[in-house]
Amino acid sequence: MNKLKPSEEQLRFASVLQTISLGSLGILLIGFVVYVSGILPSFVPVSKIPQYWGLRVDEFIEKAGMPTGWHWVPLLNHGDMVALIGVVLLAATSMLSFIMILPTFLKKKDTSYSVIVVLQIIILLLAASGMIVGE
Amino acid sequence: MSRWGKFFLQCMVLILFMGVIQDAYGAEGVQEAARTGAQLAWWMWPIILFVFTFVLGILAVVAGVGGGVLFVPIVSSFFPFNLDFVRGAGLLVALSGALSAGPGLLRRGLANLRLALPMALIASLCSIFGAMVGLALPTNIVQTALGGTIIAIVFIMATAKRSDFPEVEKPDALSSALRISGIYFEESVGKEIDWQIHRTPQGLALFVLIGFMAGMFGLGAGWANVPVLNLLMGAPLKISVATSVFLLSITDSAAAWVYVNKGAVLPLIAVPSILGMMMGTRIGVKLLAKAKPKAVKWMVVSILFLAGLRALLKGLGIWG
Repeated sequence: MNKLKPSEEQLRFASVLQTISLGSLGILLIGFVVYVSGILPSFVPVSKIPQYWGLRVDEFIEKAGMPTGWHWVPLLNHGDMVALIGVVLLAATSMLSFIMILPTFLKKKDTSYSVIVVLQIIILLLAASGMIVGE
Repeated sequence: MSRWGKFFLQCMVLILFMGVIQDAYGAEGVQEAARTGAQLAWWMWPIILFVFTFVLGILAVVAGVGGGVLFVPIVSSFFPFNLDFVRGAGLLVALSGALSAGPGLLRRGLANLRLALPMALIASLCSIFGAMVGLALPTNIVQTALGGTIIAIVFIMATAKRSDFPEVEKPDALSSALRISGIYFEESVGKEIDWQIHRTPQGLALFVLIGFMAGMFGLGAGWANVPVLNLLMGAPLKISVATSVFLLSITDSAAAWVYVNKGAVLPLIAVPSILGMMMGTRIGVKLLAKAKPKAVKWMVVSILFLAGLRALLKGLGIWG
């Protein structure tokens, strides 16, 4: 056995991370092109964004009527919401990678790291759900 | 000239340059320029941001400074965006950079999953709280704290020593229980290096603070991760740097969710910045062989110091 070779779970994590992050970046770029090209109408017109970006986020949400949490999902017929898909996927990449490698740790009966990975998934899921920030 | 001498000389040049701009426009003129800037055609902004972050990405690689740590203080100093949106974009810039580099570092055995996971668990949890606190506090307080933090980071960058192969006589009980150790081939000395770590509980305690600050300020945290992993816990420098990059992909991901859910990520700011920084980083890697990293590093550190000073004075209501 080559002792310099990284562990099975490390190689699997690298592979999953690369696949998902490349996909997320591709979708981020496509979503942005859809947004700025005006193919779909925007919930907040892109030309008006410069009027809002000097405001604090709470003021921006209130004045522009932007959705928070996951309330943007039903509005996916808008270009600015489509642009958020790539952002969300980018933020979700680590969580999805952890979910994919958990079986490897469980199969190896690596209890301590299985627990760490499960806790990490719970933390990232809670953050993603918006429950922690009350959205 | 000593490096401190060069640093202060560059700071003086930059401050004089800023002073010339202030004199030319007057304080109100600068404010007006920001307002007029906001009236530029909207499509100009993504292009300006892309070019700016592209250059920043090149400088970050050549200077050996994380792009994430440069983005927030510099963009918040020179662009008319609220700090909330700059921090949201900053986290995504740091996250995308870490996600791009992470897989390769893991495959080469430089980033270590067993070393990163316990630290990431603590740091990511604390980064969520940091992000929540950062979005709840008044802007001037966050700006002042950001300025103070950036100046402290400049100090750490200028003075922190690095140890290529720290001596760890005996691993601590926690790292032994978690089987955190490894072996890698060190090309510079042409041999395999066995490594282990110590002081794991103290390291974990420091990651509470590192995670909180990363979330609060939207900064990459390589400047703090590397000294803790290398100098405190005794991981070899290359393992520390690579593991730190991978760690960022987890810590910043947790904090990024808070900004996304609060609506503090504007694609018009975030996406061109991510793309600019990533492309700049790739060009920077190619230029690295020809550039003079030391000179660039001191220039970048000087700009960072000035951006930190401006954030501090802006937060205190003294400048801008």
